[in-house]
Amino acid sequence: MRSLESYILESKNGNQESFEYLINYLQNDLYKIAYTRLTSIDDINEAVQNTIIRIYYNLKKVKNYNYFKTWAIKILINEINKIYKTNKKRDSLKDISYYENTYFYNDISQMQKIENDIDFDKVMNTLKYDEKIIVILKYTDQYTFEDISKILRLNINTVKSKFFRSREKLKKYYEERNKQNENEKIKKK
Amino acid sequence: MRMKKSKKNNDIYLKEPIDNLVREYLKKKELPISTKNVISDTCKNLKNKNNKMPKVKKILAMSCCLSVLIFTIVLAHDGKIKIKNPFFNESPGIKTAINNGFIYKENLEYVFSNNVGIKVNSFFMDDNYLGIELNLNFEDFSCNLSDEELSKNIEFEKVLIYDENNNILYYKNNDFLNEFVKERNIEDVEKNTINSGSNIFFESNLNNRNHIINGVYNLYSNKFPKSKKIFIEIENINIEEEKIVKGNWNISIDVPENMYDREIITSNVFNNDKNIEITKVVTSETNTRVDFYIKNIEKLPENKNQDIVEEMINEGKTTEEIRKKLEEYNKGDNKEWFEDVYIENETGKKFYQDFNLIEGNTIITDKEKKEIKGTFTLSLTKYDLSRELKLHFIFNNVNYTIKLTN
Repeated sequence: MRSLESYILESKNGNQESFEYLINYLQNDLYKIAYTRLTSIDDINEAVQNTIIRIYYNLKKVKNYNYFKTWAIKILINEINKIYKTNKKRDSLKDISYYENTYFYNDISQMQKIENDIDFDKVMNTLKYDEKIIVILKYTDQYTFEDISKILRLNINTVKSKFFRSREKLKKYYEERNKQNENEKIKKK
Repeated sequence: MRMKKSKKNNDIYLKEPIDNLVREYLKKKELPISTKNVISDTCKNLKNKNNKMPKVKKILAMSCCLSVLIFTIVLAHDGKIKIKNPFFNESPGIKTAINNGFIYKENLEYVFSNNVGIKVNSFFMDDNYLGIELNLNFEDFSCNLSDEELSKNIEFEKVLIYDENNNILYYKNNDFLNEFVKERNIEDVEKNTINSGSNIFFESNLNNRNHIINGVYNLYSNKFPKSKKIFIEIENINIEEEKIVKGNWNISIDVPENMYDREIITSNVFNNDKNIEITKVVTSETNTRVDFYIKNIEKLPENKNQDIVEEMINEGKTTEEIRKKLEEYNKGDNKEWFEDVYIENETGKKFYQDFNLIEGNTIITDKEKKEIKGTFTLSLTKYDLSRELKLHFIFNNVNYTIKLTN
């Protein structure tokens, strides 16, 4: 299997296919991270697009290939912050059309999943932005706390405490929800 | 809660049901179709260097121009002292090459267009480095700006540098390149384009206010061709936002034989250490590049070396100043990967890493495989080469001296 480093080197030398491979490798994470702060799909797309362009034009500056992904995410976070500041006054409610784009099935189980996700979105939205992004970086790509502290320019201990505090919040939410479900089941019986 | 540092150990604590739920939730966050389309369209546009970019891209194009301008200003500001050798921040290796005659310096005539003259003042080229120093003559051009202001504001609108085999060594402006490609019926542009990085700046000579501005092109590449003739085409000079000198300047240079007939010298390596492999040592007119590969590394030290070097390069510091700073940095608790890297020739002269040739000093680490590979670029040139050499470096507090022969 080819190393990521070889794709970066080839992209630096202008190989378009390798560049597309790199973007393909990053795309899910770019989307998930953009989603932590931006509520409209158009804003998410704009942040992702700007990030790809910046990666393309600045790739030559990347010297340490181990930090390629960290570097790309830093660019994305800057783009997200710019868009967020511009659109600060925008309504923060999530556009339901996003879910229509994500799922293609209309059967009940799928609808149930969507409802669960909206629930989860709600609880995720109770986390602060930096807490949310730490949770996503930790769970989607299993970054080390050290990596996350570099990306967000935060002290490593701050990152750790924010992560575990957020995790506690999520845990509490799920425990309460399970309790409620149990109670409902008992009532029905 | 007790935390361990490594990635794996951190995850030991993330095995509870809530952790699986969050992972599941995030896994389901698939890319929406519209985002997929945006990604694919952006990649296509970048591939075609499409000028009809959506708004966001135009903003980026503007910010790129701005950064070039800022860089030009910073360097021009630093260059208040009369220029001795404008190439690669007076890199010691390049300086040695120039002192040994590896420089083209003919008294060429100015090429005039719209009362502005341009000529090549000096030039050199080897496998990795190409330096061009231009003189821009504004003596006959009506302009209220001082030389210093002029140098801070000048920018060529379109530039193309190529050789007799249509190898494109540098270009600015896609349309300019496309016209050239069409005129010459070049089928495979990528094949003909030499990938090169650049550091371009303009500066005035404050000791002599004669409306002559110096423009310096420092280009670097993995492999420049052995060109016999270099052509430089420039179209329009932007002076200020709305002041543009319309014109065409076409300049050609006959590359001296010692530059196009150059050969690199590869050294033999004598090394018994199983974990350290010196894969290639090559010496040219301007530098020596050492490719290395180190495996089975117990512990990879933290490294801030690259940040320090980049910051100091941006501040215009010399190789000597950077080396001293790194030595100081290593005296404290900080450790960098490599210390005291040099090659010693038979006369006992030591040639250190040339940090002005920053792209030639790279280190790639693989934490999982516990490996490092990379390249040192040192200031040893062909002019100081001896039959036997010693490559020295300290890695993880161990001194290594490796014998090299030619």
